[in-house]
Amino acid sequence: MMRRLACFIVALVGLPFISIGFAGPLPEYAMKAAFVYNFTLFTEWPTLPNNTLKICTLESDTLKQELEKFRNNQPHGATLLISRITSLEAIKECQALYLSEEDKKRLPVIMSLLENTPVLTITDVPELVGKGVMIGIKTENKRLVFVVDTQAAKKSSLYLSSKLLSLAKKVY
Amino acid sequence: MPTQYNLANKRLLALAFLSLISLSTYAEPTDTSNLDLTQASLEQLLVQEITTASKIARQISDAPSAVSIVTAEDIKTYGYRTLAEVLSSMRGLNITNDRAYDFLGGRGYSSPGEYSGRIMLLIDGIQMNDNVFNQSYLGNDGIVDTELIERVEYVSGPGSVTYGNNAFFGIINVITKNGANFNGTELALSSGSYHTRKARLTYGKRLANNIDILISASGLNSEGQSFYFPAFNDGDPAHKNGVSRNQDSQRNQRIFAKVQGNNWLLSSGYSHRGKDIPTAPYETDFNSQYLYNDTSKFVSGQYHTDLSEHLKLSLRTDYSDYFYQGKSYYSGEKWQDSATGRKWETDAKFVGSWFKDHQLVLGITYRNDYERKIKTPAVTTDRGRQSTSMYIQDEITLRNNLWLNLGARYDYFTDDGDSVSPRVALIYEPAPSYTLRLSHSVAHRTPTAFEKYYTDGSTQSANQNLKMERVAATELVIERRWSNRSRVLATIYEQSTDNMISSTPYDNIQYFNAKNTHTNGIEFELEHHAQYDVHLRTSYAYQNSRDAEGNWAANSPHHLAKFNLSAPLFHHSFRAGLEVQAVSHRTSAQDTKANGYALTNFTVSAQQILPNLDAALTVRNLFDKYYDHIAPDYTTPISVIPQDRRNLWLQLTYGYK
Repeated sequence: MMRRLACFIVALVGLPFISIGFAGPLPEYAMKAAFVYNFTLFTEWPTLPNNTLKICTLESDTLKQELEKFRNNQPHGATLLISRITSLEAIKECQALYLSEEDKKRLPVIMSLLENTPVLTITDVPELVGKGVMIGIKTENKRLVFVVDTQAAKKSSLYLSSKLLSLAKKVY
Repeated sequence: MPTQYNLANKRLLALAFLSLISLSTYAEPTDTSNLDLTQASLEQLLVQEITTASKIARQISDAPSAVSIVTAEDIKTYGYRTLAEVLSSMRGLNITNDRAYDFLGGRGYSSPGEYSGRIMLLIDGIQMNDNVFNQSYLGNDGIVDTELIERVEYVSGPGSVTYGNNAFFGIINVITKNGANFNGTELALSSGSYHTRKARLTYGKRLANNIDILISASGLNSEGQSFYFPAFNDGDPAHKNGVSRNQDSQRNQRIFAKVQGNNWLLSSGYSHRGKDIPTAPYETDFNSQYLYNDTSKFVSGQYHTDLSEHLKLSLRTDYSDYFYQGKSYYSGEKWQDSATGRKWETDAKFVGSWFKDHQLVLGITYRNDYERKIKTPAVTTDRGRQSTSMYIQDEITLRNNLWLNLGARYDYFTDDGDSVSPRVALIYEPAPSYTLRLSHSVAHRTPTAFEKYYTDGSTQSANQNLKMERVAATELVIERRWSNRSRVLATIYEQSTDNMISSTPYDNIQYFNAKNTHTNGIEFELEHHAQYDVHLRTSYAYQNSRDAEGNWAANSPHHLAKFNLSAPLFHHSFRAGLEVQAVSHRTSAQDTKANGYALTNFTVSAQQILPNLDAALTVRNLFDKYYDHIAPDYTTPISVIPQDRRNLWLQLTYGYK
């Protein structure tokens, strides 16, 4: 019995590599970071202090690491800063804020802190759109799509370009 | 036992697993796409396919306590065939099997044979414990196939504030898959040790109008094993030197159906199991047939709606019934007993967010246990009862990182009086990704119809004066998560019971309200999804449970350790899962000792081994370890039950869209 089992395991380990091939797909978080970066290109802020554009994350380390890869880009000709916020008060200094599943519990606090402040809020928790978050990213058929809440953006004096809205899956 | 042989086995396994890990380093998906993400346009991004990142599952159960999760992926990776196998892998839980049922133990409590480990079982929010014995069926007698389970959550600690009666030491929350998870028809055939065969046919689909359908049926047949029970090797020729042959077979049938729309759900399930019992419980004749038949059914409807911007309503109504029949021989005479339970329940829950910084939950439940019938040659009794419950909870945001959770539930039972179950919890996040939860909660459990009214006229008598038992627990949970890939949890708790329902020893069994018991414990859990899709889930629990006299609780192990590691093989086409479960020694109420053991299980699974065909091979008890579980009192003279030696399972799943 044991010997047969041993043969099985050894045979399995010795099998030639079978590759099922990853031809096209890209990792989820690298893609989400690219979306977040692209959203900033289609957003107009009243001002960009010191000509910098700061994208912030709260708890999501994974997204921050992916965003770092965009450091050399210059959206709107500004210097791009990527920052992980530890003190909630500091979110007012961001131009864009990414909210993940982990930040869900703090949403009411975050929304009251950001009231009338021009901070573009983006999330990958679709249910948060409609509760004040402006752009929601979700997975559909192995691809990422996004929905936009223009009212929420307007309240914070942000202008989202019509091109962004035309590419959105849904506009509220 | 030939130790050298065992050592060789261990070496072989270690070698196999090491090579597996080293191979898995080749398994990182290679990025062959030419898209430079930093320069890509939004149009390009929208058509780009993604690979979903491996994440540690987050709890769905809304509870300020410690939660452990097993997902559908784990069920596949480790080849779990029953809910009992799933639960055995979880923090602080242990299963005792007496060759009739799987009994769940947790939080220091694990009395063998006492139906329901005092942990409530919910499937899609529906309470599944029957209303005669309060047993939760976790083996082949359970209501759903494990392949239909999306996730299992174990919420440790008293949960009566939300769930009322019987959520005593915790709740098990099973969430089933949707039709969209199958998206077509699936046929699964499995075969394994003890001449066991199983077949399952499932159809699932999300229709164009967003209605999701899932229908599944399965059947299992097993011949079982022969056992040697030294207690029956007593020279009596009828006892055949203590060897029980052909007394362990079982067969079951299950049907499960679920239809749901955006805000409603209808589900229904049926399960029947017939099991031969080899242990001759209640002094029945050894080596003559003893058959248990257990049948469960349920129908449930749920509806959710937003009444206003600040008010949500959830309605749920369900009906369930349970039928048990036992056929045995007592001194050569035919002996039969049966039990029937029927109930329906309706619940309305409101979630209100009218006030800033408050999340209010209000609810009302009515439950009618209109049939709780027990029939033995000595007694026929049918004691229906009704209960009405109201509950309220408020989660208050005190500061950016500080929440206060207050709740209470009031239950009124027409037979056992009333009960108030409060809970207060403070949740604090000192720094991002760290959570501290301090809670105090109270729960209750009313005596079951079996404990109160069952008698067979000889070995067990009724006690109609039994009162409700209570538990109060204080717990501190510390949790840290990193980037969806790592999670560490530590919890320390202290719990006391009052009027705990216990039984006098065999063969004069009667349930009575014992004095206080006291338990304290500490539990740790670590989950990590490493690079190259290597997943680790491991936990350790220490528990010390004592009765009023300071005696160690029956069948309660002091130490429970679990280890689960899985990794892909050969560019993700195979996955290997290694599991070790260690349980320290236990003693019975009669001071029989069962040695501690460490059990190793190994599964290799492959997706699309041929077009549309998945396969999985599981070896349970890889090192062929001999180990026992403590037997329930009613199987005297048998005091320990030998458990399964090495066993092998193969499953083939064919799916087409």
